[in-house]
Parts: sequence; C-alpha cells; structure tokens
Amino acid sequence: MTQVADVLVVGGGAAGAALAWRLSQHGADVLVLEQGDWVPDDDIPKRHADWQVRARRYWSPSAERRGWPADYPVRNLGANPVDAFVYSAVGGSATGWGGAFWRFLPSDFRGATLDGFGRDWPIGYEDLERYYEINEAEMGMSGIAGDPTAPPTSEAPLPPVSMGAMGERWIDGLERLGWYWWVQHQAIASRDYRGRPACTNNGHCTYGCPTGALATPANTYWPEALRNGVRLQTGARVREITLDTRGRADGVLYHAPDGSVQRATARVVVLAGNGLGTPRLLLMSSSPAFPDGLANSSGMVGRNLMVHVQTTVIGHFPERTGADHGPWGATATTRHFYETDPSRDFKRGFIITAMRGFDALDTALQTAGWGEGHHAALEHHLNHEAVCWVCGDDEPEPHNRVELDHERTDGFGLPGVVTHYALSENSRRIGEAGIEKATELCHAAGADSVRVLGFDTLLGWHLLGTARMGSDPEDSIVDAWHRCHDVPNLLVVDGSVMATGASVNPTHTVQALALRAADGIWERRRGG
Amino acid sequence: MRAGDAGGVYVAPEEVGEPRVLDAGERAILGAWADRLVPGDGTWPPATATPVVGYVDALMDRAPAIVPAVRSALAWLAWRGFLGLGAEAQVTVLRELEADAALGPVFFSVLEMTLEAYYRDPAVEAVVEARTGFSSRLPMTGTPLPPFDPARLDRVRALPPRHRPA
Repeated sequence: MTQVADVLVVGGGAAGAALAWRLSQHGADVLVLEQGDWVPDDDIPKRHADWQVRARRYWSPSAERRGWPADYPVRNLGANPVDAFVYSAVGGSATGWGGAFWRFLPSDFRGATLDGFGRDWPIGYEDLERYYEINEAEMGMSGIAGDPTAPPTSEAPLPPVSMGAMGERWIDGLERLGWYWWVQHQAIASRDYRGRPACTNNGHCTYGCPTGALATPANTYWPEALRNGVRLQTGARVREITLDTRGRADGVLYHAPDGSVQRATARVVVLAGNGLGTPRLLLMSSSPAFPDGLANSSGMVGRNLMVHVQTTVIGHFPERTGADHGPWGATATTRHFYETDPSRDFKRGFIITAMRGFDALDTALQTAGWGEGHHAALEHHLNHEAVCWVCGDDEPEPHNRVELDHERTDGFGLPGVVTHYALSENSRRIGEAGIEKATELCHAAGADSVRVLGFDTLLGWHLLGTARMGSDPEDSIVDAWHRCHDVPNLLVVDGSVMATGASVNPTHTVQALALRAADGIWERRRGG
Repeated sequence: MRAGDAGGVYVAPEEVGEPRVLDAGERAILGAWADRLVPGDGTWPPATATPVVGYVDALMDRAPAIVPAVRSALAWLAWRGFLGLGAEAQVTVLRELEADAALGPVFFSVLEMTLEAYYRDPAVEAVVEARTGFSSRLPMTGTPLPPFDPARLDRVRALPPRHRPA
C-alpha cells in the first residue's frame, strides 16, 4: 500500500527528528522513513556490568564492525582514511555521542570572503540564531552565556555540568596559559529537565546514557513529534527517490523489513541521511534525466567530504584522573586558536576540548603490551590519563569524496559506500598546531608526558559537505533553503549541506538548519 | 574486517558455557597462549583464571566466519610444539606469530578477545579498582560531583571579544 504525506523525510536522526518535530508543530502531515529501529534501553552498554565489552562490540560506532541489520557497507580509502562513524537507528548518529553542543561562529559562514577558504554559505549566523536558541531549549543544553569568543546569546537553559577534579585541573592549566576558554556546552541535563533526570556523572557518554540525562533525538524531539502526529516507520530502507513527469520528486521506493518494495509519496521529499547516506541515495537514484545521480548536474554530489582535522593528545598525570566519572565530552574548550591568525602558516583554526580518561579495556588495548609488563603498563596509564581532543577546520576539496561501492552491498543488494580522504597541506598544518597547543595544555595542567593519536586514520564522527549548500547551481547541490537546484521540491537537510564545517561539533548546527528548513517548507507550502 | 575479528558479535558472560567449537587440544593451546598474553603474578590473576577460553569458543560459535582464522593460528602453534615449550620459548614463538604477515591479524584478534574476557571478570575488576582506583561500577551508577563554580570564568569573561564579525 502506498503511503501518502505532505512531507516525506528519509532519516530519523538528529536532523530528521528536529525537522519533523518543527513541521508537526505547524500541523503538517509528516511521514519519516528510518532504515534503523529504536534502540532498546536494554541495549545501552552502561546498563550492564560488562559495558566496556559491549561498547566495543554491538555498540561500535563503526558500521563495518557493528553490523546491525540496517547498516550498509562503508569502506574507507585514501591517504588518510576516515574511520566513518554512523549509527542507523532512530536518533541516527546522535545515538552514540557525547553531546557536545557548540554554535558555529559568524566567520564560519564566510570562509571564502574572510580567508579565501572554501566557499561562503548562502546564509549566515544571523539566519540560524533563533533556531540555535530553539534547539538549545528542546535538547536541553547546559552551558553559560558570556563567552567572548562568540556573539552574545541568551542564557543557556541549564547550568554547566559538573567538572570534577580533572575538570578543575584542566581549567587551572588554561588559566596558567592565559588562553580564552569556556565551559563545554553540552546537550546534557545538568538539572532535571522536561522529564529527563539530572546527569549523575556516569562518564563515557558515547557508550550510551543509562539515565537519559544525555539528550538524543529519541528522548527529545521524537516523543513530542509522535504525539503531534508524525508517522515514523522504522526498518524502511529507501532505495530510490522517484520523479514525476515534470521532473519533480514525488516519493520514494523502499524496502520493508520483509524485503518487499513499498512506495511512499509526498509533495515535498527531504533527505536527512547524513554525509554518507544522503549522497548514497542521490547517487543510487540515477535516471535518464540524471544519469550521474539525482540532483547531480553539478557533479558535486558526494564531493567535498569534510570530517574535521581530528586527533587527540593524551596527557599522563602523576595523580589519578577520575576516568570513571564525569561527562566524558566536558570539561572546557578553548577557542583561543579558532579564527584565522595571519601570523600562522595556515588558514582558519581549531578548538581543543579537554576531556577525561579511557576505561580499563581501552587502556589495556591502547597502552599495555602483552606479556610480563602488561599489568605494570596498565597501572601506569589507567586512571592517570585524560584526553585533549583537537578539532580543526578542513577545507572542502572535491577529491575528498563519497562514492557508491557496487562491490559490497547491503542486505537488499543496494550498494555500500566508499570514502576517499586525504588531508590537505592546510589541514596538516592545523593538525600540527593543534597537537602542539594541546601538548602545551596537557603540561600546563600537570601532565608529565603525552601520547598523540596522530592522523594515520581520521576520527570520523563528523561527515559533512557532500551535498553542499550554495548559490551557484554549477558548484553546489542545494540553495539557501535546502532545495536541490535541479529538483526544487527535494530538500537535503543534514550535515552534507555544509559548505564549510567550522571547527566545532556539528550536531547543534545540523539541527538548527533542520528547524529553519522546516519553517521554510511550511512557509512555502502553498507554492508547492 | 581483520582476520579472526568477530566484529559486532557479542557474547554475554552467562552465555559462556561448554565448548562447542574447539577440541580439547585446541583449548589447551589457546589457554597457554592466553596465559602468555596476560600472565599472572601475586596480585593479578592469569588469563585462564577467567573464562577466556570459553569466551573465545563462544564467539567462534556465534561468528563462524572467524573459525578458520583462529584455528589456523592454533594449528600453527601446535606445529611449533607450543605446549611443550617453556615460558620464554613460548613468548618467542608468539612474537613470531604476531609478526607473521598472514597470522599477525589473528594474533591481535585473540589478544582482543582475551582482554575482553579478562577485564570484564569480576575478580579482575576488583584488582583493577584496588590497584588503579578505576571502578567499572561507577559508570553504571554515577558519582556525585559539586556544581561548576561560574567564578572560574571571571578572567575570561573580562577579556575583549575575540570572534570576527562576518
């Protein structure tokens, strides 16, 4: 049976949930197709004594390793292959995340004009400001206003999460260095908030929050969206976006869990499948009118993959670091090196987020070689380490890309994806500077040594830019309202629209974009 | 996927029972191998004081794709007379196995499975906590911490704006 809706959304993750919720507030008839399923509470690793093993096995952020039924194959190639992290589930990749929740800065939208870096966005900070505020309230952001490295904002809905002794140590280090820093903004309830309990500082947040203090789309936007009448169909693997005789999107074909091919139609189709899933579906939806993939007359679908210049510097401290407690992604972040500094040999910049230490199993695998010295090494490292995470701005480059992988297919015979990524010279210099400054911070905070993750394989939490937003149809996929230049009633609303990626965690901006896109759909509804 | 890697396949402690895949000889070699990876001392138990062998067997049962790889490594060790060697010689043989182009990935997979079974064992968790202060329970139950003191931001708050207008 064909399902019919005003707006059909493909993907129930951070963007799809926010967009569906906003549209449902307006009263729109919304159908969301999500290839994954709800994550049962009992699957959350930290509800179980052996959470460290569960986290590495079925909860792994790598689809390749995890192998859930809804996962599609992802292969990573290039000089600096990306360890692409995605979750196919209601809540998407914000299923196993830490909740870092930063706004982009005004300069992030004007990289080309200000720095000759990447492309300018066709929208600016001011276009997203009110949506950032809505998102902070809906997700329940903890933080505090007044950061001089950002434009003024309203006060955060919730006060900062607790720092603990390790957080205080990091702050002491930042103060000694005299850098700008601010408490980490987090989508974590520091007090009871809208039915979610206050954080109890369990730590290791990416392994799932056993209390629900960590916001996910599944415990924020989705419950209210469903109450408002949004229809969410899980286990729906979309295989193709279909067009009518005028070349407008009219729906999708998808596999139900039993393998049967079903159809859903709508006046507006929205893709919210993230930086891998969205270009995958566009490229899979080729036709005589779009032989190189739907909405791809520019050839830019899948191009300009950005993942941020991510690495970690891990400080070793003589004192214990409390690695068994405290919100993992907190404590403090410095944007001292965020903006372009002409005295440096690179454009744009980076943040350093001071975090906490690894668990016993991870520490054993990372630092304690096998044999007689195993336990001595474990005792040296475990609970004596804390992580500085470096996140830098990587310029969009067409050769960094996502392509279909016809050699490896999913459970329905649909192609997987292959990513190709190599750090640019500018990114390398950002990374080197980030490592240098993070090392400086570790020592200022009292570390007696550091170890560095490096860049052989890139952390792939942030998958951006592969269907970018722009004013020029020959150089971008969607316009300022997320409408595909080639197919105006087909929208892309996720991290793949980012023209540049800034230097902060993108989820807050992904959701702000989704809320704004929903308003755009609603305002234009009479025009179709 | 790395040879011998069971990927996302998970086996709970209570699912580790009677062996289903490995024969007695293979289990003996695997146990000796695990004890060289994680030897015991007066404080720390050796690997085989925990259900390492049963865990690997259960993962092989649940993930049959890894069986040939693990079996080939065990056969290689049998061919080298592993069980008849002294501790030092066993370490030397394992170093060869680890460096072998074909079997090295299996070696790491067995190391990973060994550490998983070992560090989730309640007796080992108790030693971890006693020796390092790291509690595996606290991430389940939580830890009370004092609230953040906003006065820590006083210096930064007084600094001039640092973001660029667009």
